[in-house]
Amino acid sequence: MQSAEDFMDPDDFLAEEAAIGVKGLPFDSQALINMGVSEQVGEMGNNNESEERVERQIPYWVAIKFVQKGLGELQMPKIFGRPVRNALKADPVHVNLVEQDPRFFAFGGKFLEAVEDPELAEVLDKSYVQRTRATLDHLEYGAAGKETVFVSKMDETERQGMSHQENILNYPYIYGYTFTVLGGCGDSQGIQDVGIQSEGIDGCKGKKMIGSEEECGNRKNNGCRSLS
Amino acid sequence: MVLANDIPEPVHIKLDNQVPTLQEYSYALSELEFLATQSLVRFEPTSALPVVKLICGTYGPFSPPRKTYVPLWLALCLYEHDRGRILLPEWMTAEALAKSVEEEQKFEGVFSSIHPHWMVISKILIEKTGQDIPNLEEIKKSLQRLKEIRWEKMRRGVSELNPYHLQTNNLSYMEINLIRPVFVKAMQTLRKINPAESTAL
Repeated sequence: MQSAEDFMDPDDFLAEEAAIGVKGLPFDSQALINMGVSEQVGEMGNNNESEERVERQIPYWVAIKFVQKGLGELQMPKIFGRPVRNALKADPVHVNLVEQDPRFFAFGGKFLEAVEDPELAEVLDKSYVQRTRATLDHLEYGAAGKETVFVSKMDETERQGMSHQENILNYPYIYGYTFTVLGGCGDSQGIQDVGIQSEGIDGCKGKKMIGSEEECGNRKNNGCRSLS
Repeated sequence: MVLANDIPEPVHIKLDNQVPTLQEYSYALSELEFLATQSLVRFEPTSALPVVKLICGTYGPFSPPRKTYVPLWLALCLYEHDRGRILLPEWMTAEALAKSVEEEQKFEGVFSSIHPHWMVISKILIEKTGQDIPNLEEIKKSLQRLKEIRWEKMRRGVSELNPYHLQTNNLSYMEINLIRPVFVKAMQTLRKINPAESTAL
């Protein structure tokens, strides 16, 4: 769905750049170049005279126009194929989206405007929500601004969302301490001045999330911060 | 009266003819503090003061030892000039906070009701009138626990996001302010990703 801020948004244009297969009759590449498409793209068409339907990879914004004029059919792109969908259904958080396509979600939205695929819509929906939650968790442990393994797996849309989350999580309030609190056992001296981010003593060293369902093995009685 | 000193705030850049960016959707810390200091608080004057007529209202007369309800900004002003002392709000005593922490822990997906400006008011009162507060350490611990538990619940709420409707009761203004850009951005993206479903509404 287009919104007002999309009209001039460069990310919106770039999302449509993704290559998609179009199966159609061979077309005249010179006509494409005359239309204003770059030579590199125009040469993807070849001028063979046979009537066979050939599949070609062209940018999405060109492909859409072809399809609307009835010159070909859209093929399901590989990045939304069965293996990727299964991976996203199984564990959406750890799928490396950047190697698929740096604009995975944005292109997915554009693609779904043209093609009806409720299964893909649901997969994208759920995986985005789970990954947003995982980003919040990831930022909680002071990873703001660092290029971690987790961040390298995110696509463009998520990185923009992450920058907003980073700014917000750095607000200090309640007597000067921020949200980035390490979980795990804090000994009572750590909580003395509640302004300190305390690390656990020979405990989980903050690896367990606050409120995680896993039991902390090294449970100290003096102020373990798990929810249970 | 600037209470938030040296705290980096997101820069609000406004260009002409542009839809406001997500950073502008949230309040700056100082703006939230300004709004929070309008809540009423109990004040006990130590010296007599006549009626104070201001544009926003008339306050007074202050005759000790009668306690009155005044806005927090006025109470802080009078406190700094040694005209009285600010009494701790009922929800901020050590017992009441301990009870709130218990309530938060009991219910999983629900937030317990607490003053909508609890974070800001507690911060201001601890900063300015810290020495007058009894059981300060316990109060600070309870506040920290409360903050952690509520933040944890909010993070769990992110998993149940959908682009159309979100309702949560008893969130304080500061918490809403913190989570607003995350939720707004996520909802916008979900609407873009899933156009068919959103146009079905």
